[in-house]
Amino acid sequence: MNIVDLISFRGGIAFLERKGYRTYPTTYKELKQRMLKTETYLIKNKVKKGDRVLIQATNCVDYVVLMLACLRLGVVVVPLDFHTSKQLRKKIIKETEPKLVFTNLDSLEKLTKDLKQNKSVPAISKDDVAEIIYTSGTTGVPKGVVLTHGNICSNVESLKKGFRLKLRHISVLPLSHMMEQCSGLFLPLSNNSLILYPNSLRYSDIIDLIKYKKINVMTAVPGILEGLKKAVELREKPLHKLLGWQFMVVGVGGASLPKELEDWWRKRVLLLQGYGLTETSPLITTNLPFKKRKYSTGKPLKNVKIRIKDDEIQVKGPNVMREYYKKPEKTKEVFEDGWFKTGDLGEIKKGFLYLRGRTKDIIVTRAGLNVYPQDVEDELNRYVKESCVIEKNNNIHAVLSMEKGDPKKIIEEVNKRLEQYQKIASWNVWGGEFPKTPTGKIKRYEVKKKVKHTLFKHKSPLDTLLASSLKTHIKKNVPLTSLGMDSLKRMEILALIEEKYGVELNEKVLGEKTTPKELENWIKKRKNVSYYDFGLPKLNLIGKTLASLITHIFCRIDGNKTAFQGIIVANHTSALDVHVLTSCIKTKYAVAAIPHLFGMVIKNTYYKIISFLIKHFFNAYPFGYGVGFESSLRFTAHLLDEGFSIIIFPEGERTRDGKIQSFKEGIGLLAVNMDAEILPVKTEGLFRVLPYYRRFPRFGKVRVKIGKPFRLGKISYFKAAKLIEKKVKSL
Amino acid sequence: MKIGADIVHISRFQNIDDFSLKKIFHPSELENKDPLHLAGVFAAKECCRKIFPNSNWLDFEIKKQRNGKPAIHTKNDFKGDLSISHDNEYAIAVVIVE
Repeated sequence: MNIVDLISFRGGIAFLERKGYRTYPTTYKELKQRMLKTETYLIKNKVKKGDRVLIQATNCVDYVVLMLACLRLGVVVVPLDFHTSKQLRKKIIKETEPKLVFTNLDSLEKLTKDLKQNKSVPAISKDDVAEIIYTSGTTGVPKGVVLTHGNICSNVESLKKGFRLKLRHISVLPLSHMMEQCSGLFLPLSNNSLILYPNSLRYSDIIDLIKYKKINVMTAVPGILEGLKKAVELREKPLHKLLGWQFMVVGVGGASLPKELEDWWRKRVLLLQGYGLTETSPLITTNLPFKKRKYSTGKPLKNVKIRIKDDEIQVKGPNVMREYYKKPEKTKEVFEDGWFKTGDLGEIKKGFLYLRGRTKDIIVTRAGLNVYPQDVEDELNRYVKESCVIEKNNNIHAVLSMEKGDPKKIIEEVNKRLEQYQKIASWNVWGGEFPKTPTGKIKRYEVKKKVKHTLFKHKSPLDTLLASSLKTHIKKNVPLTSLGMDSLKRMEILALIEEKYGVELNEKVLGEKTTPKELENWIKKRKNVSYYDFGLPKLNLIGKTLASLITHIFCRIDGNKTAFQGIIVANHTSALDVHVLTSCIKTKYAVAAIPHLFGMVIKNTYYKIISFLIKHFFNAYPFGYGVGFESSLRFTAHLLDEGFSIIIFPEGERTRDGKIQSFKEGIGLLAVNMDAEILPVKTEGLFRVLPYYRRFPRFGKVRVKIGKPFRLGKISYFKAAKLIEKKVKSL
Repeated sequence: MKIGADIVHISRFQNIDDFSLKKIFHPSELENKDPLHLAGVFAAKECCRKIFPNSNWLDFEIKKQRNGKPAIHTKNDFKGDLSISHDNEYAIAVVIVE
């Protein structure tokens, strides 16, 4: 029984991977071939069944290829979170003694490309170890959870009974997280589904990707759902308008889900809450599409038994881990008569489990990682009298009780020693003693309640955003520069506004004297400028035929016919440019045009008519500052992914005198970021047929000169613009 | 002749998000994401912006010459000189334009 046997490797695309702005597909066939070649690589490096291989990387196809190859050979995978520090990695390497350590997977494809596909694999039983997953512990020394092939298979197989559909998933949790592996990787792969790996977790990226790539399912922790909910609310649009109607299932687990948040999501999608731990590979109970209860974490999976003893949830079943790696004492502590003690409190009603808080005060970060407050407090208490670490806005917040010293310096010092995911994001000083239990323990809940009420309490979400960035109280009419905004902070604030509101503002909006109130007005003004209502350009046959007819009647076109997919850059002489170009270049195309032609900035009837005409006659879409460069690039990349060619006239407007004007820098930005071929094209003669100042065309001869396609490396945007201009002019 | 100077705390580039970086730096400048390097380039760009108040971050590209000395590239010809220095927690840059 091998986990990989659950995957049939049939069915079209297995992965979409985002690199830069573009998204690249990998089919099941390619996945299998790459896996078999990687097996050969492992065998060549003398890695055999039972050996360990450590992987520390961000989610990507190479990660999956390597993991599947290891699992098929019976090699034990030790996945580490990407942010794990070097020191901790060293400790884990010492304990697990891996044969190979991968901290960078960029070269994996190259290394395995020319190898033969492996043909023989050892027999794997359900008791063979598949993975050792490290979870943080209160002692500061993490424990390695030993999971067998049988453990993980049992979980995936029971899930598969509830979800058999071929869907499109987006992966937002790290692959070092068992929940992501089970419901975000093995389950979709066994259903021949598609998995999308984004390269950023910014909400604006996630929202666009879900919509553009038609994603149906997401598995997340409550922190992500909270952030996404806020992002949707700030955009003031219904969820389905932003993410598309196809987005319908959200799996959630990893931390307790606040009732309010659950209600919000339940109204909009099929929300399925599950409960589990890494030690139970990971699911114990889950709601299924037709077997679900409000506020419950669902029924136990098949063959999994749960009992409540002294309010604590205990588990027995094929999903329970074998042991903590090389820690028999710790293993003994968590088992009682063969039952695994979860440390969480709960009750069972009609077979459904309801969580009732946790015995451990774990904070779960947005990335799904567990932070034990005790670990952070131990570090803090070296400098201060007492401390209490709580969660605030999905971040780690420290409350300090101290008599002397500079709290800022203390936090900086402590942060140096903490792991990346444990780092303290905000802090405040507590006056007097902490509220305590009779046994002397700090009442965390009361501290949390008080802190939430006193700290940076702002009514408007923008003020909260500004306060968290500038780390100070915000006053509506005080310029942001007086509140500590400098040129770098300005860029960070603009980035935050783009992520949270989906609004792109020019840097100049945040001037020397801009107050929070003025900024709020700017955001309001720009809110409706977006691609939300803008679908893929569709060729309107009547429009196209009419325009082509006019072009062919008046122009005698002289030029070689060619096929191309990429970015077509041409000089802009006339309104007939697009149809002359496309009569020579065979391609499915969209034209990048300046946004105010679409009435996105100024909304009136005149622009509505113009917008309709250029959208349908020229297949145009808005590109540029008016709609925001970032979202323009995202939309253009989506068009290129869908097989469109982009036609762009970088002069920005039609020539007035027949000469080619200088190219705008936007073309550099587009060309450098799109990773596509660029085709320089020059048209001659159109200025005579239909120049800027004429309403009706004249008859004439038109020449289309097509250059050689080329690609750009990582050069500056203005250099790229100049280079492209030179190429077009020299034709 | 005009002069611009700027100093920046290197740690500010440790946890900065990619989106902010893309708005400030060209892809060629982001090939090395070491905070020390980014802080130096940022300070140099800030100097240029002090000299040309209406300019944007992306109007300047800071690139090392063959001899290792950084130089400023712009859309048009640029006559000036740049010096960047680091010490412990800070990066400093000075730009002089003829």
